[in-house]
Amino acid sequence: MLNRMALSVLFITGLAFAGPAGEAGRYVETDEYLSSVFPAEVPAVKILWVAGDLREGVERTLGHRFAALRVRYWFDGARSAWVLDEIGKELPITIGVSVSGGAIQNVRVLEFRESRGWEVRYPFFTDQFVDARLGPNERLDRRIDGITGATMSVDAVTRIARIALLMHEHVANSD
Amino acid sequence: MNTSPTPTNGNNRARRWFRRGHRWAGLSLVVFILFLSISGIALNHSGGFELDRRYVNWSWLLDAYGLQVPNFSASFEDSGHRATLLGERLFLDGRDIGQMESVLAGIATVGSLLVIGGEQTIYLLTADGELVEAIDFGSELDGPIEKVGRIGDRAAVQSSGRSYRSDPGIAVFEAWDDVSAAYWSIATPPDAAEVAALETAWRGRGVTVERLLLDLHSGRIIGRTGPLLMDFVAAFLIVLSLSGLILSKVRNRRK
Repeated sequence: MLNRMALSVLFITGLAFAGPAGEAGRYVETDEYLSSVFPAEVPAVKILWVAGDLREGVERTLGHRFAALRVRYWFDGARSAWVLDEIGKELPITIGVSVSGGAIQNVRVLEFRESRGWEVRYPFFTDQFVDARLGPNERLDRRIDGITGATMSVDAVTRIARIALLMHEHVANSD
Repeated sequence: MNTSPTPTNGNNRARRWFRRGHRWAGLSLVVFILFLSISGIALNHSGGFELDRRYVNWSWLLDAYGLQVPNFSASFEDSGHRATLLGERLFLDGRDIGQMESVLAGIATVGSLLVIGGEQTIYLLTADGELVEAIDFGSELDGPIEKVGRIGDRAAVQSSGRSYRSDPGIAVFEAWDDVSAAYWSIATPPDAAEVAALETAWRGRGVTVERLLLDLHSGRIIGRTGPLLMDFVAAFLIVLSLSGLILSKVRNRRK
């Protein structure tokens, strides 16, 4: 009986001191992400100046000013990869998005800096974006289910997915 | 002759003390009642008075709010532009550029762009402080960025003893051994006027009048004891109301 109680106490203490299964941090380096998108060879980096109609579309989608004048991307003629930052609540989330043929190929959270909302890094959430396309009003053509307690992070990832599609469309049409 | 206090005398004395206590308690709470009433009315109409759009930036008040300006940890100047790291906020020419950093490695003017080095990020900015791009070097360098500079018309960085030079568009960097002609940014302290401008920029507009009134009303302005003090005042007001009711009932009964 005493042994069982001691084991229970140890188990509960262990649970209390165990770190959370997922938490804020750098999960994937940019070059690792790019290698996963372009397994054969990562194409040379390109620069997209976010100006004119594109900037208007991006800022309309984000609902706020886009902080940078240019973004870098990788494009092999069919598939593009974007590493973009968007603020969830107070700090930026670094998100990788790859797009092919106007549809999202994958979304990965590369770095999460805030103390809450990191659940958006898990595939059960990011897999919802696979094959999503831009619908009317620059919205996704499907519903993305949220995560309780991570609403702002969910919205931030969704916004980045939309602007990655918008930017891919821009570079694919101009190439 | 019976000199012992009669029950009637005792009741009168108690009543007198009760009335005197009620009066003194009322007088001592006048300041709180006036303050809570006026601040309450002001807060009820904060939208109309635009209290959420008016700011106060008295330094003692901002200190009380914990907005003490930290000492600058690094400052560099090149071609009339100064980059400074204050706390974890990056400032260019006394303006907050909205970027958080733990380290400032230097600033270099390259063509029309300014190159500012953070721990593992290069910030490209226009001369008026608009962000062109934040280039993350995290996965390319073995350690933090140690120096920022230029080689001819290209940007240059140094990390873990290795030097890198950018392309003309400052989009990509490559390892570069010939740094004989390189200019490397050197830390220099800002002068008194620049420090004053940085302190003003750090504190921003201050706190809104609405925030200040809310904190005064709730007592939070003086920390943890403030709400307890206000609870005490509220409890005192309840006691005062009840004692006032009792006194008025006694008076009515006498009439």
